[in-house]
Amino acid sequence: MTAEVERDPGVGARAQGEPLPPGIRVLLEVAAFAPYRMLGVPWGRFVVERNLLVWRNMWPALLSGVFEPVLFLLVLGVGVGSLVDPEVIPGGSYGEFVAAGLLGAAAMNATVYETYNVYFKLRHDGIYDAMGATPARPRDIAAGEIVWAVSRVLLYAVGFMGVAAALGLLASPLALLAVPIALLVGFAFGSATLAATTFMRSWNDFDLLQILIVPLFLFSATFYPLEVLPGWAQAITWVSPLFHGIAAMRQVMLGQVSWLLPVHLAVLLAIGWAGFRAGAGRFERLLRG
Amino acid sequence: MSTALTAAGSWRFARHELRLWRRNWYGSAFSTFVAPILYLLGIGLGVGQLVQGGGAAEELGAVSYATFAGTGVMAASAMQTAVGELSWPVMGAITYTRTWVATVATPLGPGDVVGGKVLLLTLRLLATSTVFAASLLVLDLVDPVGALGAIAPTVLVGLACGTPMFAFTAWTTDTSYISYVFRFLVVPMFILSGTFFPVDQLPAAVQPVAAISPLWHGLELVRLGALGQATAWHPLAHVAVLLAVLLTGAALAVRFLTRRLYQ
Repeated sequence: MTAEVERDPGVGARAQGEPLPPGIRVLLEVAAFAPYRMLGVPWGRFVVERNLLVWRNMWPALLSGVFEPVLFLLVLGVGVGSLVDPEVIPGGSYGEFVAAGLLGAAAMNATVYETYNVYFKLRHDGIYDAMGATPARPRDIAAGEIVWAVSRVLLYAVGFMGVAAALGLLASPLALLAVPIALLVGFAFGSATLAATTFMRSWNDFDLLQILIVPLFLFSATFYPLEVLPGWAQAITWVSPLFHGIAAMRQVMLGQVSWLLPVHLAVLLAIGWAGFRAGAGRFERLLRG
Repeated sequence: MSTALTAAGSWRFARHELRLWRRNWYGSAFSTFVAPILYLLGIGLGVGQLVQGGGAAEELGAVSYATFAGTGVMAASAMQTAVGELSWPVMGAITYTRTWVATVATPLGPGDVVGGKVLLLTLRLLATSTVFAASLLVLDLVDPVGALGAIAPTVLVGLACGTPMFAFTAWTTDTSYISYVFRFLVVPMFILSGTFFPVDQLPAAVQPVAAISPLWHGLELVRLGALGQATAWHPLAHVAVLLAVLLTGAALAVRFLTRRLYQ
């Protein structure tokens, strides 16, 4: 089981120069590999590591992605919030209400930014072909890119929650659970958009992605409660994966957890898993073919 | 080599791009025609339902929230179309495909490229704002006179936001700067210029910042044209600011493009 660990000491040990005590090193390595092993993609970790190395000099560009949702939070919470009739929002201010919607949208957008990078690597960069000369299989690459997209979501979710807490917009200690839910949203959208990217024929086709993303952003009960919509529109909203993410986040952020929470989480998990399987299969065809 | 901007040269350049659009139009049809209308429906009508009961119409200048946000999105999407069209595609034509390096090897010069691009953008803004104004009319958010009156200021604000972006893209060689401009200038302008709520809802310290946003000047004019609302400054002062920004942007674009294409 530790065969792969011995073959490569890992970037942590290399970067530090001074090796850690062997016992701790093995433990760290096992912990770093374990999730990838469990998913059957042991080499996915190196794809994540490569992305870390590539981005290490561009971290301002990476971090600045948190600016947009935070700005929306400040502006919608304060600006539009002061216009909103307080009685329409169940159990909280408009700022508290809209925070969940914006966090969900931020998680989705972070993965969408990443698909442009995946497309570039797949069609222009040739880096995946180079990875083909290593023991990494296409499905390891697909999994690594999804984990990387989810890591990006983690960065934005933590930054966003920090600002929301500072503004006093977190109504319940349960709100901390919104971060893992954001990761689940990242998994669902990261996998699904990765699968979609493999079908893109040119940069023009990304507009087709926008045709899906913009309505999801606007019509997933992001900015207003589902209940203000007519019945038929509520039914359509249930089809939106982002709606399930935002609904779950809203439950924990407002401290109003209902029996529907596991349903929302299960939908996200199912989309993520299906997206990963489809994306990995397509990578297999494109890179081996 | 000629850097002069001539009408004939601009038209020749525009014709070239129109031929390309014939094949690639679908790449931008959604983002320019449909997405703004979705914003209108999602934010204007959706959030509008939250606002109506609160009697906030007074703060919006005695119009419904959907009308307020609808006119806001009309001007803001003109800005988005303009900066989108004059950023990445410009970088592509200078650096990646190098099409414009070939262009200036013909009798056309950088001035014609800028003139042609501005001409195309004007056509595109005319088309998108006409469609948007018609949607506002169909949703009964403005009257027919207002729908017509909103078009010209929308085209003007788009152009005034576009040419500075053109100049910046022609100047920079670092693509990440373009991302920063979008993130730290375009997006804040999009939400802080009075698109979704009046600027006077902002903290007093931030309000004067709106005056440096071309979109704010444009929105004052759009709401004057569409709804007959009084403007913050004299209308001609807003027009003057937008024209000054537009012309400065275009002049700088010619200058920087000349440097980039002949280097």
